[in-house]
Amino acid sequence: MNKKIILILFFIFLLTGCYDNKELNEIAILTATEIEKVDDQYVVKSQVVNPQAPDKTTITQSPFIIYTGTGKTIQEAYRNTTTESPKFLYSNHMQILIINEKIAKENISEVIDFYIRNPAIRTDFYVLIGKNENILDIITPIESLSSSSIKETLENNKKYLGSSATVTFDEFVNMYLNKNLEIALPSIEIINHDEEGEKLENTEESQVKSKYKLGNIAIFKDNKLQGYLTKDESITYNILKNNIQNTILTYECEDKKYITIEIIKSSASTKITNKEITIDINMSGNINESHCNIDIKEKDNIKKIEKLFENKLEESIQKDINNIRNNYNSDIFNFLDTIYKYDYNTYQNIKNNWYEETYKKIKVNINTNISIITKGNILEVIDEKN
Amino acid sequence: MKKINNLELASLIFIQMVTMDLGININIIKNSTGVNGWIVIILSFIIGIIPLSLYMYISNFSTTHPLNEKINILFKKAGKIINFLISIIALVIGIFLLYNSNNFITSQLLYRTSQIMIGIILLTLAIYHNSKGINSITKVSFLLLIINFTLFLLSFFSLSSNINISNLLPVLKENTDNIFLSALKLSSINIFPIIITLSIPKSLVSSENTYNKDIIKTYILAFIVSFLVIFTTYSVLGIELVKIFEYPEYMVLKKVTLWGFLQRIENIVANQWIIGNYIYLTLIIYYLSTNFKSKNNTQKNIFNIIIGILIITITNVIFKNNTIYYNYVQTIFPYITMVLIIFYVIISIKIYIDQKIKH
Repeated sequence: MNKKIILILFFIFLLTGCYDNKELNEIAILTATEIEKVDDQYVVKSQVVNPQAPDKTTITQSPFIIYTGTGKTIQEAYRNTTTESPKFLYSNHMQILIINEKIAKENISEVIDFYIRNPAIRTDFYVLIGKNENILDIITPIESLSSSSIKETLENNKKYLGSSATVTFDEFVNMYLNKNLEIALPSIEIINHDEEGEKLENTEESQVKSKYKLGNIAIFKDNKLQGYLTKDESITYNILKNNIQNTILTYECEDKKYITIEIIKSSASTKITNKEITIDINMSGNINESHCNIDIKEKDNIKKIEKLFENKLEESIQKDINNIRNNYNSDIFNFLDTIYKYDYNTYQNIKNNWYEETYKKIKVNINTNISIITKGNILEVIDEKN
Repeated sequence: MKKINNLELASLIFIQMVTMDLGININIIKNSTGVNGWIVIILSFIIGIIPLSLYMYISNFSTTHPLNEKINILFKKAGKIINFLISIIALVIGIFLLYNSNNFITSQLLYRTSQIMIGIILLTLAIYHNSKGINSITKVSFLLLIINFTLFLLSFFSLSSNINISNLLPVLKENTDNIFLSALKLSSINIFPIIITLSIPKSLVSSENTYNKDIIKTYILAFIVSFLVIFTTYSVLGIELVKIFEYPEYMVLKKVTLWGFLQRIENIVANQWIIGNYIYLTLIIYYLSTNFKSKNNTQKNIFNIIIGILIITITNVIFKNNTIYYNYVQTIFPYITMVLIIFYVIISIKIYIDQKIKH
């Protein structure tokens, strides 16, 4: 009997729940982090949900609070926020990480090291390059947390335009570690940044003064930021990387008259044949807008539009690839990785002088196939009055 | 004694063969074989057919006796040395298993909890479970296997949409020198230790006629599961991330989403490994206790407690940190379990010779 009592007492101490538990009222939910570097010190800004946030009728407090910490390392900077925050910053719900372009140009390995090493942080948050500072400070309309707003804007852009990209932290690390890949990340900037943007009044007018805007894709070489693609180059990048869910293509059908197709399905495959890169692109789409008098009831006319788009797309992709090769000499399309995976012998011969000798010269063949499925609500041409 | 269902025995063997999937298998192969890891696991199970055949051959000898008694019958006094050596290897497996589960829990789930605390809870449960006898162990093992298997299927089907086959390329172009050795190592830690299950005599199993068939089926199923774990981890994460993470098999589970809305369930899904480790530890303690001749249950329980204390003490003395542990996992552990093949062979040869002499 005594033994059983001793055993029960022993277990009381062991089974008291998680040893290192944290109650909800002891933590502050961190939703986003912005990292900058000032005078060789990391400045970490943590966006934390304000549990005292106002309801819709009484606007008294900001929906989020920014805690700033400074330190020689990111961890030190994070911990230094405890001088401001009454609660422990819980990072498991982090949605976005903004790395200032200054760090991206110098050394991103320290940022990666901290986040990949830390088991308390998940690796599925989005990473962006911040073109200016204090991006998270902006009070945004519609979504009260700017981090959620940025996350949803990224996802929306991916769904409907494809000029940016959604890159999770583990994808980013993979690009960083893989010797055959180059990093490409979405970027973000603030337009009309002033102190008003950090106040609740920022959202009181219909024309929001200070707001963030997704930039085009940031391009790296050897893990250092080189610059930013144009909008068209960004879309091309996403088409080739199969990141596009939905986008629009607009080309001239007659002099200064345009036709727009909404791409609803896109797939691209890159192959290596006879030491040349071949990219096959298959797309399906709908005619969304047409300024030209084309009779779309005619099968041949649809074929003509498809052909026009195929040729124009081919041309623009070719141009964008060449621009990126010439301007940045960075293989963000993973050509070297394709060669590594599908033609290992060629890879062995070219890997050492890839950028010096091969990348700019290698022939890239583009094959496009576009199918127009529907033409919108109408079957007739919207003709001008005679 | 009550008979053990064939499925229950099979569940023990299955758990033994797949438990090392977490934290040990990939850590042995990822650096030496690169993207060829999935080929290594196939090769390891081909190699494993040899000990599996010998296992079935040994099980047919003196079917009423557990392994240690079979060895004593075959080798008389020398049998004691063989039993002692197998027990030492079983103890080593127990030590590695305990540290593996402790390290997994403290590094991924409970960052500030001491490893000893987790070890005490796991071992106390395993010792208590042993006091209930082998029937209870096999029954619990079977029930937990159903949970494990359900979790595995859920995670696999959820991850199948993230599989990127190009992450497994190029095939057999780089890091090919160590493929066979790595396969042998995997085989030695996943398959060779099933000899411990011979501590359950064949006569205790309810259907002796289908014994071999059931074991072969279990072997194939365990192979499929182990293969899919490695295949999915490599193809979803890619070799670079597999190399950098301590538990890539767990990291890949972070991507599990069920029906589009159930997210962040990796800790529930990862229970399959903790359950596996627990059952394996229980089985090891059971095996070690079969070597101890006790007059009553109290003596046996005291012996089990001593084994438990021994395992937890050695674990904490040897593995001061996980760097030392992984060093041992890669360099020493597979070679220790590899020794088991010698016992498979000598026991089988002795049985064969004895039977020849008899006839």
